[in-house]
Amino acid sequence: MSALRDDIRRCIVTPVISEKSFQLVAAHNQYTFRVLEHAHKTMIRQAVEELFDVTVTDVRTVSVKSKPKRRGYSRGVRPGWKKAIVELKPGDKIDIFEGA
Amino acid sequence: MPVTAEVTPLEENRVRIDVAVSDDEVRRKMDRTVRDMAKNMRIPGFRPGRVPAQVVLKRIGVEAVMQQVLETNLGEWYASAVQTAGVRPIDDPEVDLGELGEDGVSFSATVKLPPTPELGEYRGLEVVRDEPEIPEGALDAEIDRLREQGARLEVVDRPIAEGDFAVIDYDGTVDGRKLPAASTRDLLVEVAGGRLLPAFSEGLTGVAAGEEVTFGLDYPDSDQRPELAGKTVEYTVRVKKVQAKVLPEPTDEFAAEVSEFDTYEELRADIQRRLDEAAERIVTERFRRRAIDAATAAATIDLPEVMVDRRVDQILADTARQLPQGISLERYLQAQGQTLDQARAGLRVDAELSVRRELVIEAIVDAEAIEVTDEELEAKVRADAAEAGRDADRIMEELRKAGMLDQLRQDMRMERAVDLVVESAVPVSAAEADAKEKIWTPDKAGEAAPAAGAGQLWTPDQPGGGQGGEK
Repeated sequence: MSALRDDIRRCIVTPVISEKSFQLVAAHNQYTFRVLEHAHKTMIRQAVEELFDVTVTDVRTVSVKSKPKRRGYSRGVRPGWKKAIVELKPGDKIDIFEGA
Repeated sequence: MPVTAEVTPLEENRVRIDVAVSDDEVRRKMDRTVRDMAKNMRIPGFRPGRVPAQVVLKRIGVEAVMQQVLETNLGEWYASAVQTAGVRPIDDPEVDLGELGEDGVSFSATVKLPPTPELGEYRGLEVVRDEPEIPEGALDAEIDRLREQGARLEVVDRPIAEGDFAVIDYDGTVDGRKLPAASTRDLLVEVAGGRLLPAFSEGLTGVAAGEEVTFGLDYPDSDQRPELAGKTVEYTVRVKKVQAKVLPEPTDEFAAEVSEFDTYEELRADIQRRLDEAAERIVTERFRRRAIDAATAAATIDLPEVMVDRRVDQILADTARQLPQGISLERYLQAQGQTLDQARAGLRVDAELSVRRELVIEAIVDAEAIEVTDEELEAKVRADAAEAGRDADRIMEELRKAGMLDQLRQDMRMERAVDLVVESAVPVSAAEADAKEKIWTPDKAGEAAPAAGAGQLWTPDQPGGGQGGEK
């Protein structure tokens, strides 16, 4: 496998496990991932198709804003991250969402 | 049936029950358990109680869920297995877990069963029957009670005597100050009737209507009203009216007034009859109990300790349930001056007797093959329902739903066994029984050291074992 291919697959960081992401799976066959900040929709589509052997019909991305946080006198920010919502061909499934 | 049970008899009244729980029962329970667990779980990304079952399962693992399932359901499965197998364990089971998995659970439980009593003679027992006893003067006491109920107050013109009623005003003062709490107008009191302080009654005695009397009264330090405790109260009492209690004469009018009878003689006869009946009931009840006890004494039972312990526990639990709210069993026993251990020891004898009685009666049920048909069962329920003034069909339905019908059937069977023993029992008077006891004593001694002649003489009445030795 080429170095390029390796790189593409690494752009998927982790599945997002939450009430919302589970709702999307159930309602629209959309799976949510945390992806690298520089990943673009094409990369994500290729990565998901390779990793899970499915057909992607749509990719939407969201830049989750960083939030300022404060605890006492110490200030800081929570890092922002990129979220990708991937819609699969009807009937396709990704197993890791069948549980955490 | 989600649970199947197979019974294998072991030695010493024990059986092993092999229980298999079907896969869909296990799955159902697992589902349920996971859902229950999800309610109290906090997983990031989910609000509490909104965690999907699959996430929970992945998070804590199938084994942990299985563990929980067993913890909550083993008892239920065991209970239903016991019911399917139709055995009656007398103690907690020893459980060996077998296969555990989503596809079914199997385990085996080893339990002790009640011993089978070896019945002695239970028909035609000679049982002491007491003479019905009515305590001396019970009839007159009852009549007096009725007269007391019908008593009237009549105004009399004489000083107060003991037992009189008086209408009084009184004012109480402490150290020259009036006490509003100790002042009353137009109070009707019974002198020396137990409600008034004895000293107050004494102060009133001998005072006539319209007179006024003053006396002091010492309250003890322990009095519950703080303004009176330890004080001397000066009472000024005005007697307004003196009334004497007049009991109605035992006449026909009196009878008509207090009862449905027209003449005094009839009332008397009725009371006498009721007293007789009560005495007869007591005698019959005693006779019944003695008959059962005799049958129990004739049987040999190798009674395990746990059965007695269990019964003691049960009695204590029943007692605890009957206590008013907020009083624990320990507190109650303390009030009786007993520790828990003492109470247990005290109950043991009774508990053992009652366990023995039950076992023997059950054995008689089996020996006589006493059965209760569905019709008889229903008739009994209907009779009870009619007595309680409730709808028989409703009760029948409720009982069936609660699974109490079998219980009732068993109760009826046992009652019939008791009836059988009691009806066949031969009543003897206490004097006769005493006499017999005296004659029989030497022979009982003879049994212990069997002389050839004596042994021969009594053979028919002796258990088979004694004869076997001689032949």
